[in-house]
Amino acid sequence: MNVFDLLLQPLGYAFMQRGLVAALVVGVICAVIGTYVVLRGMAFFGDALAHAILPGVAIGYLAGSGARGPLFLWSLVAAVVSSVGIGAITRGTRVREDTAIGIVFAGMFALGVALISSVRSYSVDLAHFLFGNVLGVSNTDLWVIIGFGVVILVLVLVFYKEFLVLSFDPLLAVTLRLPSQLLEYLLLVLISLTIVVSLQTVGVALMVAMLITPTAAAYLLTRRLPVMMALAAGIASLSGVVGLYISYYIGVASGAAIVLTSTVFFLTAWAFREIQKASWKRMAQR
Amino acid sequence: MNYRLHIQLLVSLCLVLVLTLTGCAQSSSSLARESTGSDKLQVVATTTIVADIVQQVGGQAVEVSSLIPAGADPHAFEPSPRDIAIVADAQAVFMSGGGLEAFMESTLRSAGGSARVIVLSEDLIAAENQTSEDHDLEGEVDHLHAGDPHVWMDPNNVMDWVAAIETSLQELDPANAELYEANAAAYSQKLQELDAWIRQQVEQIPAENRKLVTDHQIFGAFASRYGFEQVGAVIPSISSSAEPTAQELAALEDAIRAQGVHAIFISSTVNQNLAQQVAHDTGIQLVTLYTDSLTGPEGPASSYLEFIRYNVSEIVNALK
Amino acid sequence: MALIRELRKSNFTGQGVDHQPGQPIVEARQLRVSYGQHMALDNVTFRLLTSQRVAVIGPNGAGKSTLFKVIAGVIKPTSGEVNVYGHGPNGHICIAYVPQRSQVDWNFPVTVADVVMMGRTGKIGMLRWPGARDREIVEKSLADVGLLDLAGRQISELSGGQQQRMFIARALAQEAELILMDEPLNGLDVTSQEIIFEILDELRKRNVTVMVATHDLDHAAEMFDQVMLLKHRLIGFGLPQEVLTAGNLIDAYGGHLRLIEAEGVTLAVGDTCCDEDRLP
Repeated sequence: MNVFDLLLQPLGYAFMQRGLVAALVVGVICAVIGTYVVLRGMAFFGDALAHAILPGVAIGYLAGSGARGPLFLWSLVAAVVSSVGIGAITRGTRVREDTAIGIVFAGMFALGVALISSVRSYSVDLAHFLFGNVLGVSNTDLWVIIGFGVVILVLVLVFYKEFLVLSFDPLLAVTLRLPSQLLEYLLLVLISLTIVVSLQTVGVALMVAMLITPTAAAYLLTRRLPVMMALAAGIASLSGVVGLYISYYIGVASGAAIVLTSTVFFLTAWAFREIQKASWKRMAQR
Repeated sequence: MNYRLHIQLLVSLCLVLVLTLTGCAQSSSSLARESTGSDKLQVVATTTIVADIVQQVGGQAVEVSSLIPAGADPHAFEPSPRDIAIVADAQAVFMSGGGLEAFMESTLRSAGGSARVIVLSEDLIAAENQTSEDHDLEGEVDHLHAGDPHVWMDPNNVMDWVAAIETSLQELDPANAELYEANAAAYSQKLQELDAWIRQQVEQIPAENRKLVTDHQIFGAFASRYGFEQVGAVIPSISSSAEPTAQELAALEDAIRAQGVHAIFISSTVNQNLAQQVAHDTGIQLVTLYTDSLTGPEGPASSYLEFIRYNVSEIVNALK
Repeated sequence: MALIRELRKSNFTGQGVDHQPGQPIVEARQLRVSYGQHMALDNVTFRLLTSQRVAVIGPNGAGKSTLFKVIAGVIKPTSGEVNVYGHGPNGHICIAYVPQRSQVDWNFPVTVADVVMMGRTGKIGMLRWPGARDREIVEKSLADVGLLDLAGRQISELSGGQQQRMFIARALAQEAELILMDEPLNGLDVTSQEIIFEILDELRKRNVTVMVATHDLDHAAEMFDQVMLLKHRLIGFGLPQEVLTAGNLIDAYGGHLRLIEAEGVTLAVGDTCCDEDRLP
């Protein structure tokens, strides 16, 4: 079997085609937004938000009897409430961002459990009803992520210089009289949106990995922010595609394969960097 | 300083919400507690299916409550403190077994109490494992059947349940022994009629269409009794919490196409994404069945007999 | 809500409030800033005229950073007021605050040019991209501080002096008329410090007013037009020789002065805050 056949055979299955597109699109969006998450030290945000949306899932489940539309919308509401709450705690008290994330995540998750158990007298991690699987992406799901993806990327482009100032030097944002609070909340909302949309398309583990690992790898390889974003998006997409193919041929869970692939990319970037630094040292010593 | 006020408001709101809800929960519990002077035998069943059978045999002399409410997935169930307390106070606990109720082991340990625990499917599953071991020796292994705890899909197995329930109730409450014997006999009769009805229904399906694809492995007992083949499952596992690999999904789709399967049957209690996509891609129908639980009184599967009739009718309609 | 108020006060078009003619560049009246029980600034009143170069001195925690943040409009005073060209600081986009170097994330993936361009964000306005004029101004600002050849360098690769000059360039790109520098000379060697002062001389020629927080009393005495001695309250403000009296210094520093004996006279050379920072 030649390389061409190897590439084409999995594409004979519609679910593989959709999975590839989903991994690509989600990879790009998560990598771009993940840049802000990593640079602002919010890496726990992704996993925390996956738990913090539980009350939203609970309300959505009860309101819509398990239909995905209400689940998704209410999860979005819970995600935005959580991120705004985290923002408010960080700004209004001495508590640091990582502590604020822990507080909100634990509280919201418990609220979700309480809501579910009080109405149905059993507690179940209903969030599983929302968590997607890259192999289970429907055509509607694809349109949803492409749609949201376009909106998110456009907003990042439009407010690029403002988000940059906000992330690097918040005091400068104030002295330049930018509406920094508003922009801060906008950024948090974009991050929540990315997280929830990715969650329901490809599930938790994959979302968290796509948000962080490709960006971290890019961070090691470049010093310029736009290049870093582009590189992160590239690594994320490549991890998605390669990971899916590997999972098909080796018979392992697809989400895990993609995450491991992106981790390998990170390790490679790290090794590359170390080699680069060693060779510079040698050159300087001559 | 604005934010402190906002946070305080948010926290108070959450507290009020949680308190109100727990208040509501007190009044709408799914478990009725008879606290005073009932001379009926108080027993607990794990699923609504088990509860129904126990009630049929126990009749007027027994008060049965089920831990897992209607519509819930036993594979993922976690008991609340009240559930554990009820187990502690009960005189007997009836469970299906075979790994279905994963939470029971720790619940029984926490609850303590003096309840007698009856595992209804114990003998059935032991016999099953023996058969597959025998098959192993001959080189044939029926992977899809071994270890499948959903034994109640075959009414003949439920007849064994009835015998076990009759025996234990008679031991717990000898005064009503005759009542239990009579109920058991009557219900067994109904189960036999049900078995005959199923065979007659299945006749309507052409032999080559008697192929089942499900979301996880549920129909082992049913398939072997009534001559169906379990072609595959979306999640090739007895638990609804596992995940398939791309290879397994591809193999399933290939099998569906190659063998001309007509429908995928899924449980009402699980995430339907994957199954929906497989059905969509192979162009076959997706049918929802009741598998691990009965419905409430207004639903189409409010008793075991209705449960089986509903499922069999759906299967027949889809495959004939 | 607070967000809507912020929106209304925000700058979207690149225009700041008008500078009222004849008004001092900074005027503080009975300025008080307290955090709970702690009084950071206590009844501070002064007037500062344009183009002055002011050294703001005082022990650690005296409220120097707080004063700068109030003037820049980052913090609101608990009572009293501060005006820049006759108007509260909000609305002005001509005030630049240069942070302490230790407060900056030097690993952020931006170049020197990127940071200087950030100063233009207010002038470019929302929903617009930097244009040719903005790039020209950034280039000129970099040239003015002597960093043009380092424009593409990642900021973690800069020396202390270069980092400081980059922020001055950013303030120039912002077209700031008032620059507040929070301890810029800490940890810089003598050559780097001299370069900074040369740039400050240039700024004075362009009528840019500069307030510099420093611990170096020697510099305060010799390199600045006016000295502000602060310890929560204003102990003195005026010409160096008027403010830097023994009485005032003891008032402000208590026992935390580095003293040397020279020719029978005790000289106070600096306060003891940052001895570890001094590089040879």
